[in-house]
Amino acid sequence: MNNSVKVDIWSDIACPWCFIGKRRFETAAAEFAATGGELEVEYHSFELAPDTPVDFEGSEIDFLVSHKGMPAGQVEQMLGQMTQLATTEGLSYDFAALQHTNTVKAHELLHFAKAKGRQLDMSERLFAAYFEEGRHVGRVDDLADLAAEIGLDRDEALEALTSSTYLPAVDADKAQAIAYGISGVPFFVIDGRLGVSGAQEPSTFVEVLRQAADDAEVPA
Amino acid sequence: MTGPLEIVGDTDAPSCAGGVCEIPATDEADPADR
Repeated sequence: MNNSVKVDIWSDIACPWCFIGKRRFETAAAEFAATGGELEVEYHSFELAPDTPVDFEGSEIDFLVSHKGMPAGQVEQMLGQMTQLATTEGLSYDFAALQHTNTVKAHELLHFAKAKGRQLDMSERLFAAYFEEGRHVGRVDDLADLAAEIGLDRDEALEALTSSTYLPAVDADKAQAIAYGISGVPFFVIDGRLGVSGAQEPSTFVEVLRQAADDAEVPA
Repeated sequence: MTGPLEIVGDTDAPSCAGGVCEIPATDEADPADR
């Protein structure tokens, strides 16, 4: 019986729905595993705003107003609703403390962590640092600190980030996203053939995972 | 490199694109409704 499913997740650290979607997917993954399913999960890079400067001066509201042309009042209401939604998933978003930045180096760090077998832990650490703790996730020194906080070698991480060792891997992920036609995140690719867009409810993820596992059992 | 994906699940699930994120209507955002 083949209950093993591969899930490739495209997301960005600066994506509030990606952290919420991560929690919902984890809830589904636990239910899937409880019924005998096996999952292999891999995160991939997607940059929502690659034109963002590393040292953006201003708040999240300032960014959305100045870069996206949204009215300040609408942005404030939107972030308030997002914060409320996050609490339902056990997340404490703090948009007032959030430091908006470019996320390409954070994606490089995720690939560094993947090479060390710690990508899922690094992903969780980066999301929490960005949305809940007001930590900067764009500068290499700050990112190396976060790597060290999950037990990775700080100096090795800093060297990888400074030399852009994993930038080609980030670019490859972005090219793969284009090939799949992915235009928004989070986006989940199941066994390389099923696409699931957005922060789905856990029950939907479970249905898709079971569908994938059942399909894998059908004789060729 | 890849074949076409079969899109499954709720096609209205919220996501972020181009630096802007979809926000459900306020009544859907009420935790009491979930």
